[in-house]
Amino acid sequence: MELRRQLKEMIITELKLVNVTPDDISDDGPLFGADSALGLDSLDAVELVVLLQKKFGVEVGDRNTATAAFASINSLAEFVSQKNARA
Amino acid sequence: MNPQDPVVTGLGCLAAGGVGLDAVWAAMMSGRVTCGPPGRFAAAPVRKSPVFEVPAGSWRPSRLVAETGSDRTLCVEFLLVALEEALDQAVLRPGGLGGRRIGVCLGTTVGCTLNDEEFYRAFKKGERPDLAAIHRFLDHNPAVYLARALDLRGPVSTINNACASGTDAVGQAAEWIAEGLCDVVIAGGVDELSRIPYLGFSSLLNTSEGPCRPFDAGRDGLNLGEGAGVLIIESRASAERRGVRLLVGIGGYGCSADAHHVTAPHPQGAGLERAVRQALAGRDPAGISFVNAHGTATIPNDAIEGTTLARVFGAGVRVVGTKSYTGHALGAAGALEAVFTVQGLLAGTIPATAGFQDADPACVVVPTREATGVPRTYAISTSLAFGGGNSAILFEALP
Amino acid sequence: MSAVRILGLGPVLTCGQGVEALSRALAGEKSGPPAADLSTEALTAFLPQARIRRIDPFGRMALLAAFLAIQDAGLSSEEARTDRWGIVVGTAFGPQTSTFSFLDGLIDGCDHLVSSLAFTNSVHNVPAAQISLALGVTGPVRTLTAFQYTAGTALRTACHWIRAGRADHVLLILGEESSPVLTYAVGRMGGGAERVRPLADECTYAARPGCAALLLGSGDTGYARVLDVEESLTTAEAAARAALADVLFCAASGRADEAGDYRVLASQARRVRAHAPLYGSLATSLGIEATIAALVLAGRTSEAAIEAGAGPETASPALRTAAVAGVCGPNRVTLVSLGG
Repeated sequence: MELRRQLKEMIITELKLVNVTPDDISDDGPLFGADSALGLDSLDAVELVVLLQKKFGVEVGDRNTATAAFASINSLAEFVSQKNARA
Repeated sequence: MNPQDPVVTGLGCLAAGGVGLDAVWAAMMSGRVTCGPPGRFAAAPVRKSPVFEVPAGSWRPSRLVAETGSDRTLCVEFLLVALEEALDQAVLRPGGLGGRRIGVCLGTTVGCTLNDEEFYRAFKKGERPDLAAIHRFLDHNPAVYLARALDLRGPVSTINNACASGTDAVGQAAEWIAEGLCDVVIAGGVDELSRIPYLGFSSLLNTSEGPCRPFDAGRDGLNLGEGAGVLIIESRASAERRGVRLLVGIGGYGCSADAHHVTAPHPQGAGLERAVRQALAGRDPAGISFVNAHGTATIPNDAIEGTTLARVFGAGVRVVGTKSYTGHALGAAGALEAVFTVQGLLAGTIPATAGFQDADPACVVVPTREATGVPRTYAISTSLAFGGGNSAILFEALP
Repeated sequence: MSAVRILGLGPVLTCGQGVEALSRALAGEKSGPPAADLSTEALTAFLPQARIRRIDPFGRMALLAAFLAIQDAGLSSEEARTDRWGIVVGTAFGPQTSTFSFLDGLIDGCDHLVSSLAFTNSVHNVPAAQISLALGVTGPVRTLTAFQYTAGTALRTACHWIRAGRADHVLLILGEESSPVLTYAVGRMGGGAERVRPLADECTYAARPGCAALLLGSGDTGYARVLDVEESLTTAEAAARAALADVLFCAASGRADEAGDYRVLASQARRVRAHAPLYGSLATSLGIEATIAALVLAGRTSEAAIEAGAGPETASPALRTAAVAGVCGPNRVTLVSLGG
């Protein structure tokens, strides 16, 4: 399955989003913050760090890396691909 | 001055820095920090963090309560050691407490949670383990344990308010006294280091890989700790009747929720300010001797707490962060810090805030860089709890 | 102790949710042992799904009970958005689902892949924090956990806050989850009965989830006044005091080690009630019995006497005072006195 779709499904299931389908999540819209349609917050961000490690074997490392990578589905997918390419 | 006013007549504590208040205080006044990798358990979190563990062999089981068949938990062991010291100072004979309306009010987090990993692993595998771990859990709720072991007949309360448990326990005890529910309360808090909170806090990306640095510009998280703090609280009338020394008075207690976010504090410290003002109970903020801050050394906590304290007391308020000596001892934290606040007023000095070097403008306040003389007026200890609770307790020097 | 009033009730029990359902269960319209599980679907009537996604089963149960109690008091939940409201949660075993879910993640996974969300939810004071967040309550918020002492101390704390002016209203939430570990432990200790028999010699413990919310305040309306909460009484002391009340409600949960104490209490009482056969065994069932006592004193239920009574009878207008007793340990009782 395409990486972006996998990420969306993971977010929906693991962060317990209700009444949201992968099609509802745009590739480039903000995931976090006041402008985000999903309403994810700092606690979700922390959980996401663990999930990336568990499901994709990818370590985030620090707060700044997380902020950049978590901006959107696109940035998340790019981050995961890059990390896996290097591995 | 009211005969029903709550006063402190005994102090006891146990922490990484030592057994007994004299030892712990001396270590703090000399700036000694004793933390390291966990020795009692193995753990492999994403970010390893030093802990403030009570050294094995540094304490002996208290004979306050005769040991029975079942193994006492570490929480109960720590509690008994600190309690023995506090009762001794308050001139209360352990054997003479039974049958009397003496209350017990203690804070804890690990001490009231069924976290026995070994039992649960066996249970999950379908091995049908025996119930020793369950019985141990059922027999060692801190306040219930003391009530039964010492036959106490007053109110019995174990408070779990995460990081503010100990402060709330002392505040609650003071209210029982003021209300006339009982004449004496054993108050305080206890917690033991355990894999579960160690791994849990690490997963929240809240822990530092080095010794914590409260209010420092380069701070990056907390260290966990363990221990016990006990205060004997009684009515002024009871203390005077018994002819014992009144150490300090408890002049106010505030407790308020942020209702902002389940793990992040209110950005303007609104709940903390309310709690602090409640504890001040009308006293002039300018007259405060010092504040023993919550000071976990996480980036958000110290900034929010610092700016709030500056707003209430002025930017130059004397602040000390003692978690750099004890770690964040969770349920014991507020109780240890209450003990240290009382001691600061009695001694007229507070220690340097270990780990602090460079001021952070975002925190506004600058904690103590060295041992500092303080006036014997009134002092506050603050706690900001996981979940958004804020608690503050005010102790007042007595003439 | 000057009086505090019970203004609203929010029972969330396996025999029914809300005052109407509980009244029907009390009137004997429900028979057989209590259902094993509890659904909190009804919470979506009060909060959108998006707001409750991260709240665990214990939190949802407590939150539903809180909303029901507020509604029952005839208030809007918006009135809770103030620092003049407080919350006390009392629970012996806390959020068990989350506690074990965190351990599951640890055991099935590994140390560095534990869930921060599961950890957060396993912290015992988080349910109270979730209620405070959902309602906007910014007064004092506390969680107590001292096994059978819990309910009495929690009630006393809530009443004190009102009398001392720390809060005008306090939501008191007393509840437990059930869990496979609890069921297993109870079974090995001789429990796991189909139905509780409160005063029986042998263990008839039947663990069930359940929660009782009481909205406390002052004023002249409401179910009943809380006249006193006395803790650490001996059984004899409690029995003598309980004998003065028109009816005694026992928080007897079917534990063999408490039956003797409850029988002493019952032997001197004018009338005795014990309703665990309806809602199951919970450590904080004093809250549920207090809920039922409040309903009875307010004449809001015609109630079938369960166990130790003399068969079905309707609430008599002569019932003006009630004692609610919870055994806390060998020869130790918490006694709550309620007045109509």
